[in-house]
Amino acid sequence: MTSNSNSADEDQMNIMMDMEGNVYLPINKTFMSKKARIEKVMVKGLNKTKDDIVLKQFPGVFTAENLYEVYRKAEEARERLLRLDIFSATNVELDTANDSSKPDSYSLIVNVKEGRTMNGGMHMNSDLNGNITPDMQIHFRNLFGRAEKTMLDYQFYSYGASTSRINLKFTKPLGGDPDVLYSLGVQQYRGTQEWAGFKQIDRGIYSGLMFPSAFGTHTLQWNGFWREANCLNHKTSFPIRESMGHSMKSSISHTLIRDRRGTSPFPKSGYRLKTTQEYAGVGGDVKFLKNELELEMNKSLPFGASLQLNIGSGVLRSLNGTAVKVSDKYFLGGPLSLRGFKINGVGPTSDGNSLGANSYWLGGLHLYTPLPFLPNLGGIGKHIKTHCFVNAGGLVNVDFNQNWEQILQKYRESPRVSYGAGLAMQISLFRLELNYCVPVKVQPGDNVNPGLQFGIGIKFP
Amino acid sequence: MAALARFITKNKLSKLTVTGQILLPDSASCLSVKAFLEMCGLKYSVVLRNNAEHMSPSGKVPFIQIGPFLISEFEPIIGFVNTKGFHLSANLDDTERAEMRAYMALVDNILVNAEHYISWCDATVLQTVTKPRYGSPYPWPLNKLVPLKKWYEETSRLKALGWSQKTLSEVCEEVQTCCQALSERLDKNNFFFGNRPTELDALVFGHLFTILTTPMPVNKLAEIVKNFDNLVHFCARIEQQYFSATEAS
Repeated sequence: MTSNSNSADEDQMNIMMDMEGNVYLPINKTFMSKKARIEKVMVKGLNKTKDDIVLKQFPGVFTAENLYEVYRKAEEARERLLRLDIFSATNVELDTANDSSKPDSYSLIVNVKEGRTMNGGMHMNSDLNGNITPDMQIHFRNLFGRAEKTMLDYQFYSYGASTSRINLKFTKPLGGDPDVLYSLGVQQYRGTQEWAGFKQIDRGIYSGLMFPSAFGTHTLQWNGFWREANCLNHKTSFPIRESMGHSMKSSISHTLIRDRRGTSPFPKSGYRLKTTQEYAGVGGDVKFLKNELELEMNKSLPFGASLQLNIGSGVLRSLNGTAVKVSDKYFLGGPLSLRGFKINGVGPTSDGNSLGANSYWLGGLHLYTPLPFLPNLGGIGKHIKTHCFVNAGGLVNVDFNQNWEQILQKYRESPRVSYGAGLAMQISLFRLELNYCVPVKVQPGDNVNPGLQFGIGIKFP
Repeated sequence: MAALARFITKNKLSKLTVTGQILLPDSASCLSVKAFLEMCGLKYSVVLRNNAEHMSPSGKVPFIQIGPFLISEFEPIIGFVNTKGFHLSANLDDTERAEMRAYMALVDNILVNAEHYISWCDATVLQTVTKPRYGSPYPWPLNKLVPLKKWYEETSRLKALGWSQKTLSEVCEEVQTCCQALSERLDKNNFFFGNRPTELDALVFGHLFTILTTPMPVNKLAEIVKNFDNLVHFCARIEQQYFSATEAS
């Protein structure tokens, strides 16, 4: 008997798979009543992988008391083994024990095939301006036998693009748990912020821990980065020039992501919550406290349509009275944020350069409808929708010496609002949009982009 | 009519050193510009920022801010001030002006490069003065990494100019030759051209005065300048005439 046979024979297991790819083991009275125990677990096909990490994926397998539980535990174990990303194939079999005096005993045989250690490829990446840049990645899997991974990521600085990155990252699941990941990396990132008239090189090290909890997935990370900001050209405005130079940011951040959305792309139900807190000041000369929140909520409507609400906000408070550098400020605007405005073109501005602010808020209400002439399900219809939207947002320089009322008044004073309609396409991590936007509420100094706007960006689906 | 200009250079006091972040070549450039503005009778205020180099449109200090304009380095500043109607060498004829430009080029090619050489290519000065000073405004590890990056840039530039390969004695010889030429031109006069200061006076004063008054573990350059009495007296005179008066008021 194997766990993936689906014969109609009553004595055998019928595995059911639904449209979303989830596997169900139907509760079958026969299997619930049939007593069974796992006596022994054998793993075949291990070469480099250490025994202990494989065995750690079978918790409680020996506590199974009936055949249904045996199958369930076996399937869970198989799924965990796959998530370790060590093996290219896993197969779990049950075999009766050789000893005839124990008729209810079974042996669990796990057949694995270790995947290739080195893997790599080239794919496309997109920067904030929508420029497509080639990105080369090399992965080394299962380096020392316990699912350790090293990844080298090199994003080229190609003509017309404004970013390049080289990143070397090592990850290891702790305690054999594929959901608890420790990572350590070193990175150099070059970016051009045309909207603000400067370019920046970030060089640094980061180290983090990712783990699940009842609230969602947490990431605790320390970053130590040397930033060097330089003016882009002679047109850079003076307030931006004052932020140029070298600075050192050493910070600890905590991120919580709780994703309870339906299937991507364009989920029709559920929500995604992301909140980040960052404290910069563990060394370095940049000292601030940052708090960010993003919430996406989806609701299904009749005729294949769906409604999506996006809200986001962030506040940065500088500590020790140090002025906030433009490298740390928030910017707003663009085809994937506040539509109808040039990329990061929301003011305050000076001489055409966006200065950014220490706080932002952004809201969007989208109505997605399937394309009128393409089928709703399957093929490309899943990835592309028509949408109409309302976006509102603002950049506020919060003065922390004021009281709550005065601060809230500042938020109320300078909102920007736009509405429009267009096409939205989501293909894996890429989001492409072609919209016709009408900015209705604009503040002096904003760099507006009314009419047809095309954008490409990375949006986690 | 005096125009108000903001003069931006770097000199952040740090707990490490007594005299701050600025290095010899930059200090000399700043003093040259200050002397020029004083000689023109222009009022200015000095602002010190530790990222002045990165703020500057050309990446070098000093730079001045007049209204919406930013102009950096000695020659462009002279040019800009001239367009506003302030001239120091208006009374020179074409031959004299060409001669003045030649001497200014001499200072740029020899004195300026010698200052950079002594700061970045001499091991003692590099370790004891240049690197600690240049890195003083930054936290660890930037206070080590930033001077290292600058050292690489400076030595590459000096190598392209053919200066980093010279020995200290060769550099001293060049400085000696330069000072000889200047001393002969100045002779017993108060200024290099006529009885009024010109841009050359500002430039020479800026560099020689800084070399004479900046304490360094390797004092070779100052010793060479001291051999020329008329140059030393020239520096003292200019300082007395244009800078003591300002300090007193």
